[in-house]
Amino acid sequence: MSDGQMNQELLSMWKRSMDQGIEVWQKLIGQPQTADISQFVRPLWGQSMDLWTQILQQGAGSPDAIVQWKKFLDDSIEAWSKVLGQAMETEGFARAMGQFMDQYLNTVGPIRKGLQSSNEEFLKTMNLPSRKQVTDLASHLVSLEDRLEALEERIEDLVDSISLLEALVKRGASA
Amino acid sequence: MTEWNLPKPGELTKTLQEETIKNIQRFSRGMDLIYNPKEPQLGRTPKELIHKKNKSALYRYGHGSDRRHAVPILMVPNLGISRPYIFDLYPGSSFIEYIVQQGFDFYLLDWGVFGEEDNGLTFDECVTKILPVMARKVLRTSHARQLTLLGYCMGSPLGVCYAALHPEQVKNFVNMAGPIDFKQAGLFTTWLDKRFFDIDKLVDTFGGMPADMVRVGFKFLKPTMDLSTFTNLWWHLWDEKYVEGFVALNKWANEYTPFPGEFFRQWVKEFYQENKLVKNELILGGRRVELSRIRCPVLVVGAKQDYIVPPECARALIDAVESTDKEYIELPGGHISLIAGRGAKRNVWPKVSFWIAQRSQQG
Repeated sequence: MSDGQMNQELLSMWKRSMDQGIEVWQKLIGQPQTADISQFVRPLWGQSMDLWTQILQQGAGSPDAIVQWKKFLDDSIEAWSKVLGQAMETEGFARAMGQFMDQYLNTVGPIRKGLQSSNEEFLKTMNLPSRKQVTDLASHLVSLEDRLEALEERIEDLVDSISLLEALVKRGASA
Repeated sequence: MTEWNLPKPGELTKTLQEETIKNIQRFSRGMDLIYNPKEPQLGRTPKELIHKKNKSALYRYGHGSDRRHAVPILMVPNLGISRPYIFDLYPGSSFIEYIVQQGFDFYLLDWGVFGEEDNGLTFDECVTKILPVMARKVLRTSHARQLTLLGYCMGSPLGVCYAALHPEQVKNFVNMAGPIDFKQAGLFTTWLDKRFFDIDKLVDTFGGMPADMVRVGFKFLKPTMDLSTFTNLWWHLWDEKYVEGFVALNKWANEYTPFPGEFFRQWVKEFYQENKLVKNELILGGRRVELSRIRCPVLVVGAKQDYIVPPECARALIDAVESTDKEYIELPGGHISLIAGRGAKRNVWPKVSFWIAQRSQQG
């Protein structure tokens, strides 16, 4: 018996047991055949299983429902990403972002300037170096470093020239 | 009767069992990440400091006995945006470690983290003052006449400008996901357009380009990135190796660095807005940068799903140079996938390493 046939058998057995169970229950409570909930649930269940079977047969899905759910999540996020990407690549969006940036800078700019000047005044009063003085000092150090580096390079070139001359002199002397 | 393609009963049970175990592991590792976070140990490949210039540093990797190729490699990464330890994430997932294992004499230029005192640093100075010093140090230290310049991302336009101004020093040039034609640079081309973006106002207000604003800009490129990152993290939380990689990459991905003001002003105006590089209109140090002066072998590597530097933006270098030995390869993945991750190790690094190795004998 193949796997598919075995599954069919199992399902048929389950359906028969459900039907028999309902019959027994109805006899027990002496009720005539009334609203049979399984009549409502079974078609839905059947349709869901048919749909899932189609998806599996087309190879688009995984029998593992959890993996399927993760794939659905990934595809949703990707779809959202595409939609947002299309919206953001428009000139309208770029213009709106530019206007927002402009307004933000118009607001932040004066506040920053005000804060900086009041900080400078405070530090001056406390006889402490200001931020500008520290950064200027750093810039001086950087330019000193540059000059040392230039000197180092010239010395290296000089040493190279002397070595070359030495080699030439030695070659000349041996010749 | 309908044939229902159901899983075997045994398979279903096994799947449920596996999923239950994974969920327990997810919970345990998740709690560990939250309550006992470990600082990732990054950049562990042994290195030696060769030279320091202000905030920039030149490092040499590897040991003398392991070096088999005569031509040293100088890697020029992006200045600002992020730190360069992405190239040396952790053992087994390090581009630098891989390259050194292939026998290359490898140098990395770490631009450093610039402060307010560096806001006057320009793109011009980086190419005409810092790069020449570093290249000179590489050649002196390795006793070589020429080097291979490997640029990644923004490091490529920096490196290619240097190569165009000093072609005699460059044996080979490799561009990994570096923008060359800025009219094809995707969303940044639109957003930084001079009609919409006032770069002068930004730099004059802040002095530089703050790291937080750099972060916002990159987050906007892919707003769902964080969501998919954490979804994938939750999905793979049971996998210790995955979590180790995530923690390392996440640290790097959230550590943004600022741009010096004048550098950023020149970068946006002359590259994104006026696209001077590919049009040969860029003037650096009083000299015109002509990409046609590059005649050395050139390799350009683009990433198919790169939304930061679309492949056509990087590929433009192939048409701009006069080299006869030039090659373009496009590989699957995004911007970072060329330099980090399992895909990079499998698809990218061997190709780049092989290409350079074939052209690394001193002339």
